Amino acid sequence: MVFWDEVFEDVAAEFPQVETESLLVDRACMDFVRWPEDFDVVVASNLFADILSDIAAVVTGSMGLAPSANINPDKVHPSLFEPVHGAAFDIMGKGIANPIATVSAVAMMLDHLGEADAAARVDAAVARCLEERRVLTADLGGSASTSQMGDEAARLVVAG
Amino acid sequence: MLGLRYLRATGSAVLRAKHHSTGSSGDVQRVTLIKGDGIGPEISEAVINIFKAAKVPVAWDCVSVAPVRTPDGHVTVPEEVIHSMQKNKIGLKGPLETQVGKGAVSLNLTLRRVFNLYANVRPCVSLEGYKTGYDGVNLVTIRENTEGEYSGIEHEARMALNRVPQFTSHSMQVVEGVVQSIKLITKTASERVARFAFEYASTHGRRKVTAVHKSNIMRRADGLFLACCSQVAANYPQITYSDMYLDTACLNLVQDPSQFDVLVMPNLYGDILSDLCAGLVGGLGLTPSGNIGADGVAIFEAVHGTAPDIAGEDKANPTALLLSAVMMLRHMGFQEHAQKVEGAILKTIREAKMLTGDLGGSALCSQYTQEIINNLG
Repeated sequence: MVFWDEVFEDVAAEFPQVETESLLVDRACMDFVRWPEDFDVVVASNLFADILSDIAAVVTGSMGLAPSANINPDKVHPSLFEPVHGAAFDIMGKGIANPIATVSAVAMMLDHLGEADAAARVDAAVARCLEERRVLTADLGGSASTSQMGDEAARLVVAG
Repeated sequence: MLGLRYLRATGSAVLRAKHHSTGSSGDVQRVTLIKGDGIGPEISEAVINIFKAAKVPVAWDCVSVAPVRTPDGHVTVPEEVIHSMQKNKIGLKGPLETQVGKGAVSLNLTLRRVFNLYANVRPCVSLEGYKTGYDGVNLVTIRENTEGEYSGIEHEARMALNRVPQFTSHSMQVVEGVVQSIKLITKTASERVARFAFEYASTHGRRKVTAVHKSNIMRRADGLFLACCSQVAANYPQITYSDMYLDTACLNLVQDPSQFDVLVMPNLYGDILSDLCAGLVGGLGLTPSGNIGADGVAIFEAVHGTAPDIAGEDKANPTALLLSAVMMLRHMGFQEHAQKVEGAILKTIREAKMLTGDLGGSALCSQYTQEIINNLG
């Protein structure tokens, strides 16, 4: 009897249309670095998700892109949306930080607030900005400033 | 300079055991061989054949680890395994089946306990000819392997009549859906693995040791582990010692693994990080592993699974077991033989003419093995 698996299976049974899989955490870490595109939604206990979420943030290409949400599903208390990255004091004030992590966190917030369309538009704008590769901050290999990349994302939201 | 970085990682003056030959003829050393389950037997054959072709002075004592039940009901490894290891001190092991959650005792865990294998050593080096998304990996994870989160001390929470949670079993009511798992950290085990890590770093010309922990959260447990590492570090002024939070370490490993050298950590983190690092260089099929125990015992093993879906089909990749056997040779002092066998393996991978399916080729296990033999030169 593995407690975590039992609970997972019980809840999964309520969502038959969702495909599920169970992985040991060491294997999951290995697969995250080798074939991250194989994953969709990953749920894990506290310590394991601490580890996996940090790996995931980097595997997607840059810490500058990873958003995060701390959810109170009952909406009794506020939920908190934030970039995964830290304060980055070493580049503070230089105008080179990647704003996308915060932008994407806002998209998560909009989604949580029930504004699905608005959230989708922001996500689509971010995706286009990254695909076009014209306006990118240094961490993504470009030379745009924080505000330039932010403005481009905003422009694409309007244009989208 | 074939695999020079690799040689440095797996070690020349390795973990030198206080190994005494027990009267075997000439220079031939007897090694206990546990072929394992699934693809175990066929990859063991690959090792046997390559070592024979390379004239390695090792003789194999094959033993079965099929579990036995003692009169008092405990499940353990057969007597012959214990006697063989006590005599030979050195073992090589293929993958064993572990049944999850069915109440069966893990055989891997049993071996660890019986031989007090306290340190798991896993060198991870980027292989020339096998490209992954990560370059310049040349690190060693050293995992405390006897305690920590794997002490097996678990219980369901129980409530006394006055509704105050208690953890003894008399006159208590089980609290549904609440379990507790005890992480055990001792000074003895922490010091022992720390000492091993610094000693390993010294004898292998490694420059840095980093302790990985989450002492900000597990203040007493990881705090103790960290304190032991710092104390041992003071005895090795030529080694740069630092510590890093576990999540930060994971992040940094994925961002730039080349910054790491030797990593030492408690059991669970080591389990996770050693697999993560294996992933950086290509997975468990390419990663060697050594388990160091008390009294000079050491068991080297392939850490991948038994792959029952391809067992017996001559498709398995024996590289992990081979590289573990090379690590074993270095441990035994057979530097030249180790270098020769390892050189042949690395050359085969680099030339990419004959590779097994998981390496992107279409060769059978036996063909890959033959190619290595051809490359022994």
